[in-house]
Amino acid sequence: MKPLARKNDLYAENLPGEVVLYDKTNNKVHCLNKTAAAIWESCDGTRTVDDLAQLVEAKLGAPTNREVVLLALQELEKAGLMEVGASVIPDAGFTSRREAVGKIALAGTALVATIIAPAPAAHASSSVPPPDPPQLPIIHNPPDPPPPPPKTGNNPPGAGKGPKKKL
Amino acid sequence: MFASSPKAAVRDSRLGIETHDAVFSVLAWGVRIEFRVPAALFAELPTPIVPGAEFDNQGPADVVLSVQVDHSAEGEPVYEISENGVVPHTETSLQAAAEFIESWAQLTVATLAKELVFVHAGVVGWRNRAIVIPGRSLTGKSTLVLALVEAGAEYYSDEYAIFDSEGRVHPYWRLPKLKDASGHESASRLLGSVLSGPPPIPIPLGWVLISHYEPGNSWEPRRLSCGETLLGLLDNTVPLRIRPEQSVKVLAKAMANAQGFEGPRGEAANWAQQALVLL
Repeated sequence: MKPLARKNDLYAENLPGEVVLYDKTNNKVHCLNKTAAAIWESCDGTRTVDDLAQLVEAKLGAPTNREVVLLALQELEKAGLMEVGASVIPDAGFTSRREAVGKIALAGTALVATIIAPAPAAHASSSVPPPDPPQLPIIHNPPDPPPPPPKTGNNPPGAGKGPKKKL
Repeated sequence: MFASSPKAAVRDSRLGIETHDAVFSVLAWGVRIEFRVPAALFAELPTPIVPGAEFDNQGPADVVLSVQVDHSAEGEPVYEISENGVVPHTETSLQAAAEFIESWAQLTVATLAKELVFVHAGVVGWRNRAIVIPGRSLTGKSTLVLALVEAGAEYYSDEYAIFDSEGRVHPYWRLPKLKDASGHESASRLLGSVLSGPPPIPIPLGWVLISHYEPGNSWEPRRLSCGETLLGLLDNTVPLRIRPEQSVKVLAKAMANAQGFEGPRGEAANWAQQALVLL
């Protein structure tokens, strides 16, 4: 598998250690942290997942393993930023997903954060309070996979709940 | 500030108002709007209708707003407000029509101003840099801005942060609008004399503060990355869908030496004190 990043109809703005992308096809705005940005920029259709891991590790100067790359590719695909290849990323390799997510979380920012660009009318004054709180960014770090069925018959706490982040 | 072009007046016995139109144009932040409204409605409009607007009838209008007065089956006036000939709105009272026109005019300028990027936000000056508090209507921006002013910051805006191509923030010079009478009184007391003078100069962006109210909370924000802060600003950027590249570019430039913080906050006065100590 040699993933290819989507580059058409996107406006990219480079920031220190991050990339912000405006997707003109669906008016979404994505912020890629440095790991996701390095992977997205390197997906030119000629590199395997292992190639990407090595390249990103060299670029960022931080250990980057296969799981991290696969996770990032999944998030980039969910955000609509990949052309081909990401959809066939096997989910099996994620025995250490928790570890991968944890490593990324230590870096401080989500792999891919997304907002929907508001239309101008969304800013109209109103005498009625808005029904919903301010729009939240969609964080593409996926929730942990459900735990295996308990052998003793007791359900573990917090099963099925993913991380939430508010701005 | 506004000049009218009087036409032959016809007193409408049902409405009790003169039905000739006031026709005038204003130029605000590079956007020219032509208004055609009944004289009675013209008298209800604020001056200026958009902060920073000047009377200007040189050149074609970007938008024309017209108001026609019709009547309901009960004989009550109905104000049909049209934008470039299309009727987007009706009101049944003079005051409501005036309030709608004021809001519409300000949003229209914020959307169409080509050289500037309007972000829905409150703004104060602190140590020669701008503190920007992004948020839609009714999210408490005005209250937070007043709290910061009471704590020693300099007032810039309670509605829009206006960014120029250099990333500087311009003032939106008007009295903050608060829902309750006591808030309005505080605003008048704090800023009435300030607003009678010239607005302050544009300043670079220093901080972006994103918060939501949770009673009893003391403000212990986490620092945001540059990209996260930019998303927070873009989420409140009026022309983002119309001029996405310009919006992103201008705000990214503004962020060059700025920091973003986010976290729940308690009461505005306490939050303001904590914020200014932190920054």
